[in-house]
Amino acid sequence: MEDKTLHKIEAYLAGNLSDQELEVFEMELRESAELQEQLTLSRRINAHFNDETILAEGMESPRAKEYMDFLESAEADALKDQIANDHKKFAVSDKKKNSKSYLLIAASIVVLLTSALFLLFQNPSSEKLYAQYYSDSDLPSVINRGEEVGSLEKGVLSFQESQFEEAIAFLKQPTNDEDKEVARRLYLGMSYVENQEYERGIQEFDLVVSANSIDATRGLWFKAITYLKMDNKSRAMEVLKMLEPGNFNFDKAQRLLEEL
Amino acid sequence: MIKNHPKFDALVNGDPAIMKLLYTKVYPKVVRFVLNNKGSQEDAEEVFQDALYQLIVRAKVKGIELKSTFEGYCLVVCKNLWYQELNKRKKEVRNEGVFELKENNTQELTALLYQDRWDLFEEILQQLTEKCRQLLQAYFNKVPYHTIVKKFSYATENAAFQRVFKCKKQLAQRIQADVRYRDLF
Repeated sequence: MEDKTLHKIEAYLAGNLSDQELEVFEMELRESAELQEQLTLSRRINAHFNDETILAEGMESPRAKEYMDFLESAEADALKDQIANDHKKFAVSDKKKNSKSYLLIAASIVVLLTSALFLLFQNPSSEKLYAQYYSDSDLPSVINRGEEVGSLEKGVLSFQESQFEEAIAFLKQPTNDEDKEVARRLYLGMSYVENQEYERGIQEFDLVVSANSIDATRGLWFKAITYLKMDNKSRAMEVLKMLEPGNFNFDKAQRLLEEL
Repeated sequence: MIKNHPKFDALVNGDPAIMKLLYTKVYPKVVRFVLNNKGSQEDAEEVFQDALYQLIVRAKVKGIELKSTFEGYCLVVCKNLWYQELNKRKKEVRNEGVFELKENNTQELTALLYQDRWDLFEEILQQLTEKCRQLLQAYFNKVPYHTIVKKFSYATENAAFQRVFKCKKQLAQRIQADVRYRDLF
């Protein structure tokens, strides 16, 4: 398919065609099966990568038929029972085991505490350092009294309430205000990190670093903190070393480097 | 012949070592993820069991070949199931739940197909060059073109637009050419 047509498809999906162009495109669409197929493909790609779930597709596909044959079988019912039984065994057995093993646990705790304390003073864990060095007060303040509450402010409120999935949905929406974009990406990045979607978080922090803002080096700090959370001390150290005097949290970064 | 990663073969065969691995390494993360995202302990338990069911069905019917770690992939499946559940709940709140009286099998089928499509799209994205991947991720993340120009050092917004267009075209061509695409839609 020609690039010109593909450009039209993109413009159509983005709602960027003029009335006249739209009329012509929709006429072409009615007459061309190839164009219809290409439009559907583009729509599916956009939906997938924009995290929009189109659930009711493919229900008549060859794969659906294969799955349905299995789902309607007695084997599928037996499998569900098996999974439920396994769940009782593996998810609950730990609780039972724990309740029956107080003495063993008590003895283990003494040994563990001694070792843990020793290790703690020798080589603090990434988890402990993360807890010690990550503070949400390092994130910029965005909510001002009397200001209109937009998607950024709603996202920050959801973040503060630990509703990270909701926060992500709000914070994915650009603000059209360059000054607020750094704050939006920092909160979005940390929401991803809290959601254990570390790579996405790092991507947001990289965008903060590459922005020409006075706050750009905050991105480095949060990127380093994320690597700490991922238990990747060497990458955390690499990023911390990029901070220079006068940059965000420079002194704190030096202390953290020493501990690492 | 159905081809599976060995750990999925072990899962299909009910290997206790694999179950133990999943319950010690993945299950606690799923519980934490669901609790952090508007869910309860019961929701997490249900999602985890649904994920196990889905993984075993897919491994039995068509085979699962891993492109990431076993534990990582299982976690992705759990997260996707939870996102679908949250979307379903949102629709119920908006009184759009007309289709909610579906049979269990249909709901399970929907989730199975969703994960297969997810695998296809993400796997093809990984086949592109790193630059294309980063560009497309920025584009789908709705990063404005003027920021893309700076981040990727393009001369103009039009140059960035053309590059994004070419990467998306490559992605679309590869998806369309993949044998799974016809099988799944």
